[in-house]
Amino acid sequence: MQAEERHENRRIDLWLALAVLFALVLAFWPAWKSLVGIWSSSEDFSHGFIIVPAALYLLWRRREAVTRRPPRPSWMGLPVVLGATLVYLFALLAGVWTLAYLAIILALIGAVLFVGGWRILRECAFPLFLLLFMIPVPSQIYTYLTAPLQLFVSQVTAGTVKLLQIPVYREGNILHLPGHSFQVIQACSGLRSVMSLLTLGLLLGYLTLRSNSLRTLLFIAGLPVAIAVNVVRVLAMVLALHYLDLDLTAGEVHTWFGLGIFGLAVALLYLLRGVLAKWDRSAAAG
Amino acid sequence: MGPLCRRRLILLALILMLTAFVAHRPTAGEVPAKPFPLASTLARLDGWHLIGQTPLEANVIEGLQLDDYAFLSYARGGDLVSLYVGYYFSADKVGAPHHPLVCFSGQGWELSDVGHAKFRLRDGRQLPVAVMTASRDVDRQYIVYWFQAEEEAASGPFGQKLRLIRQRLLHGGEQSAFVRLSLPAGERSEEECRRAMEEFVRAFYPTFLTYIQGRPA
Repeated sequence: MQAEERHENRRIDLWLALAVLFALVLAFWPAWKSLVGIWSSSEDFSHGFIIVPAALYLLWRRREAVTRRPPRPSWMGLPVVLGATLVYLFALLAGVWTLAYLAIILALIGAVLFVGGWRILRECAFPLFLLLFMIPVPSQIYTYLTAPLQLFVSQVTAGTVKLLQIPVYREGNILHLPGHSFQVIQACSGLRSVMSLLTLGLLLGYLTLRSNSLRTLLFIAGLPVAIAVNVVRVLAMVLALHYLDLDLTAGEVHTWFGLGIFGLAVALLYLLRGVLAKWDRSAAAG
Repeated sequence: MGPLCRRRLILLALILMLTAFVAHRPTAGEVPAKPFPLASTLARLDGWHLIGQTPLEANVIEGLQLDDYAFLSYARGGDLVSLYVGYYFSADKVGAPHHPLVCFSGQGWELSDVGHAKFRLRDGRQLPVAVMTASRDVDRQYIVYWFQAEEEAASGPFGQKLRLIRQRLLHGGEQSAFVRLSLPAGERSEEECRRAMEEFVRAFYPTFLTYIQGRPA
């Protein structure tokens, strides 16, 4: 009898949780739709697609810790949810999408607190924090912050090309080679892959390292890795054009080349993680 | 999960459904396209002669998400002014224009005398603008730009965003634009360049406003 009752209660809980999930998606649908539009159209934020599945996977990994003890719901969650929905509606009305995206995460925090309490919120903290990385940095701010890095990449590349005795003249992010000028990237763009590599460093560190300072180090390493692979990317483009008359900036070859460069970035991060993991182990052993 | 959690889940679902109901109510949406193209509206400016028009390539129009644009050159006496206006009908595109401080550097220009100014218009109002001098090899250009939100101007994109939020909340306004002017500076002083530019803006701005308002110039 008790087993049947337990089964029935579980069924009700599941349906209620699904109803809340459905309502959450429906309420924030315009913001989700806008997010997916940006993820699919911007090279800088295409990593957004993996964030929600990654957060769900991390939650799944922590399911035992979450369900170990019964929840202790907190009323504090209610004003947070209500505040988030008000901020969201204002953001929709005013057309401030970044605020609308942040409201989704705020509503989730409030909902977890309201139903599960502080302990469960602590257990879910990292997956919820990870969701911040699905939010695109407004393009003007992103470009403003990363454009100097892109200029640095162009400078280093032009210097290296000169060392290889290839005549080159640089105007900002535009490289002029004999008989051919090309923009190594749109001249007005910022550095590519920064957000993807920062996110990857964050995830990799969280999943495979124990020390928080080493995790932070791996996260920050995404920036120099992005600079390094962008130098390699531009250099490869120049060399391919100069020696093979092959234009890697357009067509199908550009896509495959881009994937290869991203693979190189992932390999570099993984290599760095391997070094940090050794320190992690020695620190744990000490 | 106990009955308390269940009650809270139900309350949560109700709050979210109510939010969904409000969020999905129809809004004003996009401003319909203008009866006249921007370039033809700006073809006649008081005292200035249109001497050239540069069409933008399709990939540039797509990259900048332009709804309309004008890339025109004008002359008056010894002054030559190049005008670029990127125009957007919906507020979603308010972040689409590229910032000149980034683009000019990206194209190899050295920037100096970067700052803000206020140009006095014919009706006595002040127009907030950003100014700078861009140099590349022997070329030296005096640049003036601003960001438009409906009938209000701001010298930076953040100010434009705030003005557009206000316009949208109070009047349902959606339109925005980026305006850039350049003048070959040569050996002229900054003050001389500024005076020439201010003269041009006095002729340009009232005509530009007629386009924003959807009236014939």
